[in-house]
Amino acid sequence: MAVTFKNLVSDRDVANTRTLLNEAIPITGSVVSGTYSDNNIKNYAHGMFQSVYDYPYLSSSANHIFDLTVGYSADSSLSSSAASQNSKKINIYSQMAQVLVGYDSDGNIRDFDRDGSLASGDKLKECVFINLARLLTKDEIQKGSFILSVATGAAPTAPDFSSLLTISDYRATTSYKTNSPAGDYALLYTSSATPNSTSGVGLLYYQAGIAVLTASVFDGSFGAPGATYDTSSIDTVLTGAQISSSCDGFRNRMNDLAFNNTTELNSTIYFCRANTSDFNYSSNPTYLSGSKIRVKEQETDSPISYVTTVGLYSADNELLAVAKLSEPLKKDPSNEFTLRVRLDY
Amino acid sequence: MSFKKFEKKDILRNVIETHPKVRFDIYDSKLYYNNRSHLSGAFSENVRNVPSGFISLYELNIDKSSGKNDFIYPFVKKSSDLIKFKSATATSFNADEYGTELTGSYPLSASISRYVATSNSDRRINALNSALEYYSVLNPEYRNIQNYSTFQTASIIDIPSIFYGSSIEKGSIDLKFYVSGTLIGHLQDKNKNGELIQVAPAGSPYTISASVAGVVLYNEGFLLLTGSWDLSDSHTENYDGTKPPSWIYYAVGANDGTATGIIPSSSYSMEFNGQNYVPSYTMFAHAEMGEFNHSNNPTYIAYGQSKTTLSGAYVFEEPSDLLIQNTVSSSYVDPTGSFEKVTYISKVGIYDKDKNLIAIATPSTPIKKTQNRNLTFKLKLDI
Repeated sequence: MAVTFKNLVSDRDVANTRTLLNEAIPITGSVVSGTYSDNNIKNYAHGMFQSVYDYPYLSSSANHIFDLTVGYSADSSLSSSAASQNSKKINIYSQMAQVLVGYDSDGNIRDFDRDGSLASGDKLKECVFINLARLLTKDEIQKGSFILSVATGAAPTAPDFSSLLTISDYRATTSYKTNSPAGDYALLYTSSATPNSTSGVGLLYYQAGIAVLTASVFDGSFGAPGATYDTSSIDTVLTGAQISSSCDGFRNRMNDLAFNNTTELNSTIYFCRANTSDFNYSSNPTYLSGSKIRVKEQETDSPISYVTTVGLYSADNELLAVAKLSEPLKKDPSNEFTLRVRLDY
Repeated sequence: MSFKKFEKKDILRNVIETHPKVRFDIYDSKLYYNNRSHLSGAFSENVRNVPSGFISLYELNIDKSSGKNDFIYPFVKKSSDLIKFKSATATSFNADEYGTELTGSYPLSASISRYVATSNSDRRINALNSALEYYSVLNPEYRNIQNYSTFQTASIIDIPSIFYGSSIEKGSIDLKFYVSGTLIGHLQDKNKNGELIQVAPAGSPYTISASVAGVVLYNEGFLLLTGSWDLSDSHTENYDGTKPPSWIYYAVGANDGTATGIIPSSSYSMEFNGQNYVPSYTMFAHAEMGEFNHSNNPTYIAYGQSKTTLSGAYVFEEPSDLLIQNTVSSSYVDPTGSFEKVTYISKVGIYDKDKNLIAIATPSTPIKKTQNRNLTFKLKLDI
């Protein structure tokens, strides 16, 4: 235990830094449809969304990777009291929109906007929502790293995976938007060559970890193999089948999903300075031998100590953190050193 | 949104002490952790992608295989903060350009391991000398281990802290040595002072004399076994050349380089409890009569009113006569219940002194708050 304390001066000895740690997250399409015979897909009695796991969810090893759901705006052309789960689909859309897009000045929920300019422009009124798990997105999705490839067209029993549509947040590193209550977001495009205000097919919310895809990205038939509902188009599935059926249809067409996440590591660096006259003695029991300092032969010898540990204390002298050196450092009045202690949290 | 300051009596600080139970079984150079069964997957023969008896940090990569279902991996970009992964050598790190993506790999894994120190100059014994000396005040057995003049072979079993937390719980260690399924030795730290005492089999002279076969470093996670007496009169096996079983041969095969098939008759079990501390804050957030009865949510205002603002070169004014939606229920459609300011509390936010939001508590259902109702939310934050 230390008996010698030295105060750190905040503007001279303490510095704060932030480091970004990333993880590359690949999600193979076959895992979400087929590999585990849908034993990794959890549907709920409320029927409002579907959870996808990376392994059959009854196993304790399984991790939740994302939730899927669909919805449409109350003023969508698909909205009809005759539609299956009509109010639930509207509620899902409204809930997502109010959290991710917010309200206008009259207190109305704004619709998702194709180009992100909320005041005007084309609205995305029928959407598929991919709500990625916090386990995977961590602090946020790294901008410009999101790539989703899906098969569009062909029959539900045999989606054409040889012709894939790649959806990505192209150019998001420099052109993301901030006019959302949920943080930064960017537009999703199907090609890096032509991103413009009319070619967006969805929105990606980085801190929320939610991808919003317009249903119109799927042309032709849509649905899951063995479907008992009308699979002629995604619109017929959205109106004629349950939310879980639309989710099944989306999973059935998903080829791959990959993105990078970001974790912010905040660090404080303490520069602990041992000047010439500092820390040359020790109160360790082994420092003395027969009531004499062990490392001194004669009265005129300089004191010596070996620094093995640096303790960081609060203003009340409570030990908060301990830093260990890889090997003891010899300290005597003839030398000075600065120990750089980094505390990550 | 309104802020209300916690008073001193509204915050209780506690520490929750937890005791995770750990069991390892060792047989034929294979380890089994907490009776976990083998799981094979569609892409990987072992879904956790760590050997049996190992724990996978984060457990992110389940049923992964390169090229089929690729692994999640971490990366950082080399910058002036000089952060790198421990697995990267200084030479390769120095050779990398700034901005280079430095990659690591998952899963990171850990398990127990065994090492035999045969000499008192062994660096692992030297590394533990300070700790042994420190604890010798509690029990002289610690000093006996490091005693240079009488040093005997010591089997060191290293338990990574991910298995126990802050320390191993005193009195919880239980080591069993079996030959062909028959218990031939049983050690416990029953005195909670670090010494591992033989407690079985009954009738053995070493059980009767409560012989000490080794010591435990509870905080550091090491078992040091030095008991060299024979645990069997008849059995011999290839522990270290053909020898009778003894405590220095406990857990042979626990990640010590022993090949499978060398020791077919001996098996071992190791049980202990960890000791871990979880700081816990209990906070009482009071919503007293007349408090928190107004909301800034858009839906708090009755629907269909014009909210057009007045703005000019010198003025910005929001309408001041908007009606609040009356949610008071009545048994009749008309008239509705008498107006009362009612809110439904759906979230409680905890802010620091600089008004940074640091935590959110969400009740299972929104709580109705009327003007004449006192509410107290009990919030618990485990760190």
